[in-house]
Amino acid sequence: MNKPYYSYTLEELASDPYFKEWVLDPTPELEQFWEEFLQKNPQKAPLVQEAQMLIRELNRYFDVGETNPQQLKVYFDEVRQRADREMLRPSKAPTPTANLLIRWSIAASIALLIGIGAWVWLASSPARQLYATEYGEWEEIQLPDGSIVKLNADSELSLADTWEEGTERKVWLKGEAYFEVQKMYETGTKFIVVVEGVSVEVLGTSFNVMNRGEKTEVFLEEGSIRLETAEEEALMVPGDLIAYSSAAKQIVEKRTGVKDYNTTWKDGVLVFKEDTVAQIIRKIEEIYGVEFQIRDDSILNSSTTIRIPMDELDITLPILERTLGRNIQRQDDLLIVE
Amino acid sequence: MLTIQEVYEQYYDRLLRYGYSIERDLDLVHDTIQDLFVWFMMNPDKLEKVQNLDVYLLKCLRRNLGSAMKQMKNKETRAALYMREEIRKTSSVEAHMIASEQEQEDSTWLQAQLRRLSPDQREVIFLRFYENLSYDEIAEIRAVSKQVVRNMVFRALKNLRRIGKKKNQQPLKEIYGLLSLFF
Repeated sequence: MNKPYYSYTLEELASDPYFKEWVLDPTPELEQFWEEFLQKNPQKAPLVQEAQMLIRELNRYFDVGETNPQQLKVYFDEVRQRADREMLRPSKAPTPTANLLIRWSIAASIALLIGIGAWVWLASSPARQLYATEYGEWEEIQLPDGSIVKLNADSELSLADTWEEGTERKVWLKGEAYFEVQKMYETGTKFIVVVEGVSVEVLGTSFNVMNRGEKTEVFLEEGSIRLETAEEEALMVPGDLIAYSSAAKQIVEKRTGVKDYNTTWKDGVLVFKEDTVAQIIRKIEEIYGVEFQIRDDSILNSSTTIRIPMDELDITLPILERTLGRNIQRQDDLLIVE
Repeated sequence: MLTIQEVYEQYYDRLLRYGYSIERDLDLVHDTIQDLFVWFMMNPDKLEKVQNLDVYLLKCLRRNLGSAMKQMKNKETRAALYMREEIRKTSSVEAHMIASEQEQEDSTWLQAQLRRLSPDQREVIFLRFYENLSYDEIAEIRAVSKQVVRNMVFRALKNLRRIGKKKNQQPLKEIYGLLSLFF
């Protein structure tokens, strides 16, 4: 703009960047410039003062302070995590066609499951939303009540129909999951996890449920839970581990004060601390859906400390090779340890 | 091309301030910004096509804040927020004690006037003088014509200028003496 400053209106002056900088963040050059301007144009002094006042007061009125960079990073992380979770969640307001499609696919999958016959528990109470992970995959799911479920590889979680406040919260699990249950202080409603033959009742707590094959293991990390089978029930305190066999239809193992239960998978990395090679290999088989063939059985009982990723078999194998000091040959899902 | 995180870090404070000029509830504004960026994370192509990022982001925030405010139906909450805001403002005015008594009086007066402006007027004042946006840009954000924006700015300034009129009647010398305080 080539208009000279002496012909500026209040509005033009107050929105002029050069003038604003002088008011808010003056440099010696700016001071000099505007001082000279005022000496040359004393009749402009009231207008200048008014504009100064306006800028300063607007600045004060609209001031919210500055957010520091660390805080911004934290805020943005929150955005990122929420976006990740949203993307895992089935669309909230599906279009009519999509809705129909989802209904049909749920109907189809339910029919299929019933057909298989191994899923009687699911049929007993129809569940709408289904989350499933493949081998080498794990997911973090936020439930409608705010609780977080971390679903391990090759696992399935389905949710009850209603999640309205004051109603019982219920999920069905196959595989392994780690729960961080949101406590409902006002209504005190229960959170129930149903696994083959076992139901775990919670108020607000963190625990791991694993159901592989005929065995179901519940490990309580924090809070308290009540475990119920057809015949038995048990109150668990932190550090308790209970194993149930669906074949024997009873609790087969009870341990207290367990400190080394491995729930590290929930953070995306499996950490083994002085675990036997046999244990490590069994876990890798579970998570990646692979099968090991060990040529030399003598290595199975040695114990070792190792960290492996949850979703990268290509990275896991070299780590394992180095730890075991053996080469591993891969033939599709068969892994041969020489 | 900026990443979404860079956009976020560059614009967060500006958006917070803009939202605050519309609705004096920082928590609500913050939440609305978070929602907006969650949406951008899920629809990254939306930001890629944008020509004028300033205008686009302010416009998005304005729209979302509008619906967030509608959702806050509970009038009691609104009233409580307003009270809290008033208390906060009063004490911050007190905290900013300025050397000149006259100036302080003017300052308090202006702060009060700003609060008395209609929300629309306050918002355009913010966009025009704080954000230094052009009439064209403000018109786009608010989805009205340029002339409407012009009129709003004009009326808002008129409301903020009564003190200036009073000042003009004072002898020049006195004003000059006051001015020297700023240098």
